[in-house]
Amino acid sequence: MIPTVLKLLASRWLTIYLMLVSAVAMAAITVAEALEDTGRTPYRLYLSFWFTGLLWAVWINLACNAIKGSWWSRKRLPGSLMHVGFLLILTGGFFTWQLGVRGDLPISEESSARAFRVEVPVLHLDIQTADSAGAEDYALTEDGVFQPRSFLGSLNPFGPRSVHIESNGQRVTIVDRMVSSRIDESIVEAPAGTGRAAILLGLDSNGERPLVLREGDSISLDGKSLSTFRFGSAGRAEDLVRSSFGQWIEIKPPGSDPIFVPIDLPGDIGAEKTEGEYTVKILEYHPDFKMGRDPSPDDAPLNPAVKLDLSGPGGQKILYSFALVEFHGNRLDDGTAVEFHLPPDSATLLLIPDGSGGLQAWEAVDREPRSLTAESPLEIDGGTLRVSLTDYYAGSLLEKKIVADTTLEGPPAFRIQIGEDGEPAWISADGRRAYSADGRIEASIGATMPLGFELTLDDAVAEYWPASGIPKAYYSFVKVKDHASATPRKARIETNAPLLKNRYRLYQSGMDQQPPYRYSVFAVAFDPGLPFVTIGFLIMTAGLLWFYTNRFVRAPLRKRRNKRGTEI
Amino acid sequence: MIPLMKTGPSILADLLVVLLILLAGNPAGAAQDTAPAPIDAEELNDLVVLSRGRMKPFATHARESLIGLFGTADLNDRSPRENYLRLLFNRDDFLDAPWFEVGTELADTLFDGRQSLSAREVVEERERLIEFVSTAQEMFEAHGKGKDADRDLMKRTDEIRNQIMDLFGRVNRLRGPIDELRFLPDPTSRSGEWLNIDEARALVAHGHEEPQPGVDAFERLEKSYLAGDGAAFAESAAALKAAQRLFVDNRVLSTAMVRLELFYYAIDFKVIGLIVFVLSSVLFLVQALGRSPVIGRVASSVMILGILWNCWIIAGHTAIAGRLPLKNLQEVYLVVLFFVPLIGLLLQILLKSRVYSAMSAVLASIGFTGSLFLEPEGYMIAPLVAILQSPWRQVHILTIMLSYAILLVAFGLHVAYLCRTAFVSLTAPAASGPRSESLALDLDHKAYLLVAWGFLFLTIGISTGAAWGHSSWGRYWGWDPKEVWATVAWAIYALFLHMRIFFRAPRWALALINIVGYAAILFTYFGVTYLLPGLHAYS
Repeated sequence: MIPTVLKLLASRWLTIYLMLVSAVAMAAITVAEALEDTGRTPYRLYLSFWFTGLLWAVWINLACNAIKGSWWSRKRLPGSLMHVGFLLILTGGFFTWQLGVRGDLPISEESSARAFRVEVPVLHLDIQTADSAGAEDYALTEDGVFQPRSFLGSLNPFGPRSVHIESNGQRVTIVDRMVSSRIDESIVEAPAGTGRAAILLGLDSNGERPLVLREGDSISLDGKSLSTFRFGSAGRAEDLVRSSFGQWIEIKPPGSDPIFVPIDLPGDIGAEKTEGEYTVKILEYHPDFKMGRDPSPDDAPLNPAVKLDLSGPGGQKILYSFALVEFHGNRLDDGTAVEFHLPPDSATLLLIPDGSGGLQAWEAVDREPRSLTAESPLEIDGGTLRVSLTDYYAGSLLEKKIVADTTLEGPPAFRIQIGEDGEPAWISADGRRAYSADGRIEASIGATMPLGFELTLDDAVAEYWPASGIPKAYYSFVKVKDHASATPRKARIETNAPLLKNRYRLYQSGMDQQPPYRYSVFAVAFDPGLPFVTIGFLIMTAGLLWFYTNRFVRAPLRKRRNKRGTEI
Repeated sequence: MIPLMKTGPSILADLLVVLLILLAGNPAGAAQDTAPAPIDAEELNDLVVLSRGRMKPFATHARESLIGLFGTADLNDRSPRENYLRLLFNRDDFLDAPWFEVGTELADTLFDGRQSLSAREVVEERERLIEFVSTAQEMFEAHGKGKDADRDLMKRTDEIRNQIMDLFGRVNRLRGPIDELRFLPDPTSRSGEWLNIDEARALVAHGHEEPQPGVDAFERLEKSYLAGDGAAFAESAAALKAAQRLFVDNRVLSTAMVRLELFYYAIDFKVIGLIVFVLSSVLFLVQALGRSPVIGRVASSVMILGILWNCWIIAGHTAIAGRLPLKNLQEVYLVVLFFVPLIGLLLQILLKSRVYSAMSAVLASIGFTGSLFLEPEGYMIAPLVAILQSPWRQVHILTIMLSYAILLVAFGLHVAYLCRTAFVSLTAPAASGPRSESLALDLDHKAYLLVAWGFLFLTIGISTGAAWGHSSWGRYWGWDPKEVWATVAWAIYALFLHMRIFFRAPRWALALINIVGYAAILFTYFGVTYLLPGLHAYS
């Protein structure tokens, strides 16, 4: 039985079928991905179980073929070498996929970074033991498998789905996952004196669905003349009126409610504002900043910008923020994001509790508010929109539930269990967390991995060929500092000349020098499969050359010599 | 005293001239003698200009600018130099000419199907076009990528929006030529920048004297052009050329290089290539029909001429650009066309049969015909972007293109094999003797050998591409459509070799696999470039 199976696995007919199926599959995937064009995870189809299964089948067929019979004989050795080379390439590819980490690191000049964004979800574990506290990050595949740290572990195509935490002695297990998720929100009455106030608004143009707003929320609707609704607390009425119809900075700590800091530009340049644990200092304001390269075309959209000094629990950084299109590098090390808002072009309706179960409705900073109650709806915008108050909660709790997203456009979600007796809980990149029964382990999903060293961008230089916009060279002068070195080491990263530090290679992959900010984007890669692939290519090419020499050079010469001998 | 009348002898002389002209019956000749000489745009041909990243003769710059604006340099019966001068000094002439070609989608949606527009029409329709763009933008923001049913509409809208933006860009660039004409080295620049007329004037105003002669010459040139004074135009052109070498002469392209480039572009190298290889193919055909060895030798000689012409195309490009033509689809296409007849000739010498040369000549003729239909922008020599400046580029592209050329000849041989067998079996199956069978077998065997060698170079090409990907992007494999399709082709040829070596598959089946393999290569080369976007967008 076993020899028959081995014979079948090593058969050349299987090789032929596999080549044919692989070629058709790859061609079909390229076309399918071009047609799909949904912006979902790249390479999804290449990483699907059926395609990886196909590659495994190729691997097994090659391996069986390579060792079948007297593979070491002089006649068969070149062919065996080709097969071994191809096997190594596939093996290297597998290690790259399973063990490798890829991401990018956008960084603006004169700022530093200790982490980089990765393409896959990262399980972040905050672990407290009796005498220490620390954190561990694990990259996950879309299927909820830990990207393992050992070669042996990587040989298991289905796992592992759990990790053992050395310092704490507990095990974290992924028990379920959703490929795509969304948050389903509903409002329930909170016990008296607790929770935030909430309102349900009926819009005559919004069909059956009421608009749900909790205190501090702001909702924008598309395609309406009145498009922004804000619901704020009475205690901050003055600030809210100013920020709704003026300018503000929004600080978004991960997993917490956003914090709004009203500002008044250009008067507030140089001013320092403190809100909760965060302090913002506005360093520069560029109202005429435009998108695109210098010189920006006349019709390029304006994107007013501010330069900020933001400090909070996540550290301190100089950041740039834009009113129209956000720059993805605007984060503190803990992921706290910052956004700069100008008054919306469309009309805003600000609603503030009036203390008697009704609301004050503000439409402009210089106009008296009108009253909105359950009995008296508001006619807005010359009667084109009718807003009614359908429900009011003095205190509400928001129930968030992670549910599957059928549009496949949401982030993946994972149900994890910490410890043997921990309650499994769903977590996703929205900031929801799970805890161990003893509360000593906190798990969350993030998108960054620590570099293991600190990288500071001193200067980002782009050179162009004269009289053209054709880039000639991109290079960045950086400083690298790790725990071991007292003084930072200077280095240069250039296109086609990466920096190798610890296990990571940093490649110059993007750059922008548009004033007021200058930044570099580095592609970060750790690729343990590379040695296998390199050796595989070399062995395969050597095998090919040997095979060709024997078959197409030596054999014809021998034949010709024999023929000549016969003629004589 | 001021003489009111000419003196006697002089009047007599004038009268004599008039009489002679009347007798000769050539009053037009008189007009020619007295009118100023016409403007000759060719006077400016060897003026050095810095544009799109490199120094080049004015003639090249004019042609490239027109191609950039209108997609072609052949707009009317005037030369590109003349048209460019009109664009430079007399732009109004251009506003009403319907030379802006637009895509079918845009033409059908907003211009009642008219695909040729004038700049004035575009300017007049500006409001309507902007409204379309902003409505499309709002639609995208409101609906994202849309449901499946909407996706086609969204895609079409996006296409039209892109075509409008491209049209605006091109019409806006009508204002550009005077800014783009950088004809004086900037004495203050260390990075080799050059000045246009406004920048040169500004520099002179700031106390720099070096550009002054150039500014004066340019102003005289403009005046003489507008006045239609050919003699003054020629004098100003000469002064302008002298002015740009007055200072920092070592920064100006050498006269020898200017002449080389003018000569390189004086005639369309693709058309010459096509003529030579078509002639060679016809001669090979005549030789095959008449079995005349003399014609065969002439055909081979013409093909060698074609190969020498290919050498000139590659060498000229390399000398002008300072690098091999391995930058974009058009450049590497020329490299494949260089290899194909060379392989045919090599096979002819090795195997002592003209069949291979004839096959290569036919393939080269088809190839040169195809080269006429590729976008002319791709043939414009431009410097390399940062990512392409890697030593792996030469190795990767050369080996891949060599493999494509070898596999193309193999493809041609297998097509010939199929045609031969089909022809023999259809016309005279009984009469097919051992000679015709031996020729068919020979075609098949040589096709197999070429597939084997092509496969080797394809393997090396894919490997070196992976090495380049690793050094540039940090990944040796990215599932990019071009990479995947190269692997699809590789798998098909691996299948061919396995079927041939281990299974002794029927020859017709192998020929079909070879044809499918080359179809995969053609899709890798053209299909992926135009249909499947990816990292290899520049190739």
